[in-house]
Amino acid sequence: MKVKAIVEGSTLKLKIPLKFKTNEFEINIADEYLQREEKTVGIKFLDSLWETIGDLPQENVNWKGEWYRRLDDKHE
Amino acid sequence: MISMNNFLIDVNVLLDAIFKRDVKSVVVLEKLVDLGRGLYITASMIPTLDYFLKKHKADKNKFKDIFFGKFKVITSTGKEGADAIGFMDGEDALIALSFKRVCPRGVIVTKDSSFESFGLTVYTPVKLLPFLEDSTPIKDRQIPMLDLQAEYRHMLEDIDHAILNTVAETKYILGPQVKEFEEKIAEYIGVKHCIGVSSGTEALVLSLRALAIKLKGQEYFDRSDEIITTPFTFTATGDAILRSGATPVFIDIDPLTYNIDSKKIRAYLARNSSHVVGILPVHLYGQSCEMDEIMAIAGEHNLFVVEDVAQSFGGMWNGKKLGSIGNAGTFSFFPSKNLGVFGDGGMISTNDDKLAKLMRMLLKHGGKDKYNVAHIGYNARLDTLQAAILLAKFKYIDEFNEKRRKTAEIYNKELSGINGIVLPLNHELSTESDNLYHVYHQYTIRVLNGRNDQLQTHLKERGVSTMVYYPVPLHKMKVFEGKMKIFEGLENSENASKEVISLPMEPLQKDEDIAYVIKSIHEYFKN
Repeated sequence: MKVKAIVEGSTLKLKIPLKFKTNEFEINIADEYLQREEKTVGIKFLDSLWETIGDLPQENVNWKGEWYRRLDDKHE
Repeated sequence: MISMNNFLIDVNVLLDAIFKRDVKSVVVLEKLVDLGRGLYITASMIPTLDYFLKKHKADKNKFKDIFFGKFKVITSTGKEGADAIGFMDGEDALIALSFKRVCPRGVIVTKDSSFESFGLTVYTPVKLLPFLEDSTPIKDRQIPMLDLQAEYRHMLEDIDHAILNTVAETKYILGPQVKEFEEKIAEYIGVKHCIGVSSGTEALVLSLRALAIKLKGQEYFDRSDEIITTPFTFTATGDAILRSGATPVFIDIDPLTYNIDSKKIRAYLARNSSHVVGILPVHLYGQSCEMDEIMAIAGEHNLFVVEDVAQSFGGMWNGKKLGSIGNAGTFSFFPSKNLGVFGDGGMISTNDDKLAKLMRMLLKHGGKDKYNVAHIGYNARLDTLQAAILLAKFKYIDEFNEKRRKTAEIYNKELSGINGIVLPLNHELSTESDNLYHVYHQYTIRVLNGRNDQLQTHLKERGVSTMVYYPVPLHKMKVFEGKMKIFEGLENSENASKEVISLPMEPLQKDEDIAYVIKSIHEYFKN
């Protein structure tokens, strides 16, 4: 799966190159600093969390919406 | 640029990052981790997080270990819960009210506009990123001597839990936490007994009183009894000697370590040993006195030694923890100490069974129990609540002492070579022994040529706090007039009181802040 994420108009200046280990994001940030080849960063903390999760959601999720639905179901 | 140090990550941003749904949330969270900023969620957010972890078959134990290594969980109080009901979105209000209590100048990272009415700074991930990358120097930078708010936040889960449990248990006087704390510290220091008391001052008084009872069979020492100590210390050291009935004999310090000069103790005793009953060395600024020599002198003259360890919890001399070497050691848990409490607290350590028994009587009005009072005692117990907080904080002490040492190393390296200041001498570096351990309660420099006031002003103008410990040596205080003895001159103490400045020393200080202090000092000496 590839997710294309666009952060338009950001002035994000990454001193360290940005790289996603799992390569599931393709980054397209409208910023000169990310037009370079080496737009990668070590995502150490989140990578280690992602490794603990069994199945990452494939579809978009409305977290609060789902949580409230779940509460409704639980208390019906 | 404003200084942004503490961030509450709202659950929608958190879940977007944790479940890899939004690159902006991923980047901002990783960047905050990378910058070492304080990251928080509230306890009220846990059920939502837990639900999605379960749904996506996370290994929750592994997740917990990694996640809570970076995030602190803020407790919400019942009052905050009740107040939250009055807002449009009670769930977000509860989060904001709890976060605001712990981090009044904190930032909420959210995609939800309902957080904007709580007087906190609110950013979406994309709007926050440019600020995190901004290298503009921080305006109005303030660097305190130490940052108790940061320390509380660093260990808030342990502390909140300890306080709430202790309050609910209602065993407020000599509750189980006092005993547990005494036992843990006795094991840590390596002594048979530790006795919790209400302050470091009371620890000194009780130790000396117990020694008077044990050694002389009387409640107080006689005024003709002399106890040798340093004049370059906090007033409590000398005051405790007066309160025990004895006379303080002030002997000068070593100008390099600021601790009592053992050669001068020996010289005094060579001429005046008949009335001396004990020595009260103070391990100043976190560094041990020369305890081998002091114990040898005490042995030769049959004197007791009470170590004042108020500033040196965790410090060592030749592999022995301070407070385990003399007949007794006295500790202060004043909030600014290396192990500090939320008020006053203290402790006495000893290997002497009889002394320990007497001290326990003295701290409870002088009796074995309320109706068998044998001595003139005090109400000097360590509060259960303070013991519970100390137990929570104790697990961080070695880590924090190490951080103090690391900061001192940076100061040593970066300030060496400046003409006009003298850096503190660390015995560890000047002797062959590898069993000394300086815990840098203070990092104190000496500023020569009468420029210490100017340097202090220069640093203050740049937001850097400094302190002088101690501007007045004890022999210059009125309370000791006519009640003390002075051996030879006390020039080293007097000079030190005019020249010393202690620099910020906070275990959680950021490297950039330490660098700023150093840069500011260099600026002064270049002019």
